[in-house]
Amino acid sequence: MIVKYALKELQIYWKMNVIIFIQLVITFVICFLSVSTITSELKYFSKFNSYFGQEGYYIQSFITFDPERIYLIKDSDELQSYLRSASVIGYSQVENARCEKDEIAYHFEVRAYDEDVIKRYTPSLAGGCWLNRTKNDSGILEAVISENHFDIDIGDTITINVYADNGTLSGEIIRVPAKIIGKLADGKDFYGESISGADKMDYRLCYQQYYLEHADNPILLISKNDLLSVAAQETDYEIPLCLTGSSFIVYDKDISDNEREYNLSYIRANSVVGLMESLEVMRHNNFEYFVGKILQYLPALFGFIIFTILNQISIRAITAKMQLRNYAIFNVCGMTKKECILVSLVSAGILSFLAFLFSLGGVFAFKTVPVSQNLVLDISYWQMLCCFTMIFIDLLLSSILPNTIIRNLTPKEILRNN
Amino acid sequence: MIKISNMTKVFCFGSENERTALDNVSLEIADGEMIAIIGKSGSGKSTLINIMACIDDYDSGEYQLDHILIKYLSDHLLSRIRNKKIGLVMQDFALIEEFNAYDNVVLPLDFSQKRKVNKKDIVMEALETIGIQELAYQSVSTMSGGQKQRVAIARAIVNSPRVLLADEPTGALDSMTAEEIMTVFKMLNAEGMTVVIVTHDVEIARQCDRIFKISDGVICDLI
Repeated sequence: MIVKYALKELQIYWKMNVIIFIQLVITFVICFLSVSTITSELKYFSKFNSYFGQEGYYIQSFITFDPERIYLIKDSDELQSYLRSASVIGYSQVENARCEKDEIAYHFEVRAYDEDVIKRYTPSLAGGCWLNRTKNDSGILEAVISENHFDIDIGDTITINVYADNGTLSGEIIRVPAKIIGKLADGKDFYGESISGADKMDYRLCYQQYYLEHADNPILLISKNDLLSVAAQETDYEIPLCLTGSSFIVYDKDISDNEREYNLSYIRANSVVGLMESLEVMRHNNFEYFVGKILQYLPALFGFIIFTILNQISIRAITAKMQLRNYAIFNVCGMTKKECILVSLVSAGILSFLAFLFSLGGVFAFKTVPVSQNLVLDISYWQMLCCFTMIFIDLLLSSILPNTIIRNLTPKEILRNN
Repeated sequence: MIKISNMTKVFCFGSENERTALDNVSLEIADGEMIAIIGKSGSGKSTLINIMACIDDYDSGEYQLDHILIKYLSDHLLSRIRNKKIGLVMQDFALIEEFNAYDNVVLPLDFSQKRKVNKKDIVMEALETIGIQELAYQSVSTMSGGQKQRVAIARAIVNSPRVLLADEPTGALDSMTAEEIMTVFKMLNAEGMTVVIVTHDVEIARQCDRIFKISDGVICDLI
């Protein structure tokens, strides 16, 4: 009965309801956009935030010179072994790798991520899945590929070819089979290295984008542990790796001053670092940048929400005046005041929910259009939470006036005033 | 059926516009009676019928409907009483203009706790009793005053109430239609329904069993 009269109410005042509906749809879309922008920034900010919360260093493009001969540090484990009371997390590049499909080999930039990097950040994928599904015992490497011109796609099996003697590029070729399980979304962020345009170093340095149009070589992302275990089944030679890009050197909590001094002097004496900053300074910069970014959007978001709420109040006040007469008649005919208020709430709720579904459908539809790639527009529980908060505010506003008047006046008084 | 004792109702109490609508009114209406309340405009007769219909409150005194003391009942109970025991025809009809006649008349049935009734048949029967079954699906906003009056009466009787309270039920009707409506009221009364009619038309009042005259909020004469 409540729903029947709520629907009738929507039907009677359809012109007003169309205006409210449009307003709500616009509000929900703004919510989706603003919250998507904030959460996407929050995602980058938060993924490696626990590293930034510790003592240590963030480094980029790490190349070490041995006193005897120049050589590249292979991976994070090797660097970690040279340091004291410190963990190193990052990724290595497989040197001079080629990916072979149908007996044709193509130059690829093959990145072997540490497990922690894989677990912490899942990039946006155009299809397939990320590397962290399950432990890989299949004897075949799983890989995520970028968009490419070589017709290599999800489901393809390729061979990663590398020279065992990377120095001469003439030694035995190691062949590691790999299956493509996912594809990076073009232009979206993945863990790597970038040169921030900002004066201060912050979390943005850990991410880079791949654009098919501008890239020299396509990218293949794999798990370092899987690579080593699969390669061990194929050959006795060591895979030529080079620690590169963004790495975190995280000190243990009980590190001593001597160890700190040793680590720093080791890095300074033996290393060439493109960028280096203490995690503490980065943490401060991160927070400063993140808050600044959020503050850019919040005034617009709150401004719009306040504007919408004020509009809602005025429109609801007009419709409430019309509704009140009907509620008084309902009350005269035997509907309780509580039920009258429920009719008002259910009618407002149906309208809000329909507007929400329409906005959601619109966002889904928009995401299928290529131009949406340039816009941060996601659908997650944060957006849902924001929209449901708006629905709650709308319901609250739409119920205040009828609630106050119906509760305090007799049906005759309401009819007399309306 | 209806017992009112020493009832007083003051509008705008304490202000310059303070007006006593009912002043120490007492009356008693037995079950199955047909009563007319007559009086000039502003005499307090509509106020009295609104209080009888439990849609307005009063300041002092006592009102019993079917042995139930009304004053301190909750909205839930008052709504139930209005739905089950009272049929009200208001002076301005109190119809929902955007609904058609059927949707207006079905309201008391929708709000009643009778679940297994054929509402459509009952509504059509009520409309037929009043002689407007052909207008069932016509929007009220397109109806004449007389047609609206009939829809209001059909709604008042659709739930077979114990008491029918009608505030100027023939006010918007020509004399022939008024007579037809009075015939319906008399028929309902003959079936056992208590009927209270507020009117300024003495000819209408004369067709009732008893007449109360109200003047300046005081029941001053009993004819």
